[in-house]
Amino acid sequence: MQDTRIDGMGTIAGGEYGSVKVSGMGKCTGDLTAQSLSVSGKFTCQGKLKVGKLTCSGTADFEGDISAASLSASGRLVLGEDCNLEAQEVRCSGYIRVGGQISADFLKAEGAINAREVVGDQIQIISHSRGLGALLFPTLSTVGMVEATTISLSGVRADTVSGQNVTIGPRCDIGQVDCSGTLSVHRSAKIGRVTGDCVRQGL
Amino acid sequence: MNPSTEHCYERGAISLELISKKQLLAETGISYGQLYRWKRERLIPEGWFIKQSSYTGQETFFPKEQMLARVQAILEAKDRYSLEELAKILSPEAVDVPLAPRELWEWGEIGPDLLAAAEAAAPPAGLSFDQAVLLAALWEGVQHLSLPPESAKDLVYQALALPPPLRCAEGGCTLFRCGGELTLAVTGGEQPPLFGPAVSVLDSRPMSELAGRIKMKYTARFESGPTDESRRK
Repeated sequence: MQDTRIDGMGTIAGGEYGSVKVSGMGKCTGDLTAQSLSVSGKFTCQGKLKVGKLTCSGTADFEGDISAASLSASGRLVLGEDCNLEAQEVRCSGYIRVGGQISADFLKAEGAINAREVVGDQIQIISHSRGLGALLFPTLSTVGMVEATTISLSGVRADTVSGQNVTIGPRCDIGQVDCSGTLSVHRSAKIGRVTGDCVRQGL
Repeated sequence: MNPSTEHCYERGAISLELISKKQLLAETGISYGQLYRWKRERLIPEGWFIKQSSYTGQETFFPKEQMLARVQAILEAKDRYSLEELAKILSPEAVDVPLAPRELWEWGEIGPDLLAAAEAAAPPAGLSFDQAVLLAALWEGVQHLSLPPESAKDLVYQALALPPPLRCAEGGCTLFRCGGELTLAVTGGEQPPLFGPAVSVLDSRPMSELAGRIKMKYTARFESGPTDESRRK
């Protein structure tokens, strides 16, 4: 499998690669499979992506699903409508927008997440409204549904949040929380209603 | 039963009982993390996640019997196999190695009524994986309907006469009567088939769970050797 890099403006065909590095403006015209993909420039993919390690410090747009072992986004990663992202580990200090569902064992976001659904095992989204990040990216996170074993949210607007251990932090606006274990709610968080057999803890 | 949580997927005379995601977690004790990890690892087919409107909004349901069986299978097997191996075992792809009808009987997948007919009608090399799954489904149907041995044997001959590919892991086995004849069909997909009024459907069951179970027994058999089989249900 060949490694490939795009430093200026370039287009690669879909296919199987070793490591793919995009520091310029790159485009992939089909489905892409790679051991690793690193985007520090701008990358557009017209197909889906299957990758081991995905790193995005620039901007990457995908018209298909992404399946990754690990994903780290300090830049901007966007997947189209009805596209889904699945990974074992997701770290986001930038901005991730997914038209469909993000499914991850572990998700830690200090930046912003925008998705129809975020599901998995441990989901932590702490979105801030200050700092340089606030100037460059949308800051609060908006998710339709969050469903995971352990959930910790701040600065998140969501319709429903369901989990075993749920922490709703400051600046959250949640329609409905369903919790089957322990629930902690910050006094500044807005919650529509709470369902489920859970133990309330102070925050 | 609480009518608000009782959901059925009804087509014609056969209904597929559903279980909500919440109920599934409560009944099996698994976590959201496990459910979604298993979906990602393809241990649970995407097609089993059925979205339906309920009085609380859009909810996700699963085919109840299959899902409960699949969760149990994964919980029991996950210490012995890696997730990738489990995914292979549970995937709809068939296993290539032929199986003797006697082994199916030893595994408790077919009863004595079917064994004699299966031994008579099986190809000399042995049963294919699909044929093994179909016979196991047939046995369940025969027991469910309490069919007499002659009818059961006839169904075995009919089943083994079906040309490949059968793709039983992704389909269902339907027993029906048409014009006085008792016969069977292998149908694709999760839904039971729809027939016109001349046909009366007696039994229709999906085979994906059976396929998974038989495949696991295959795999176990190769690890322990063919002489090491004890009768298991």
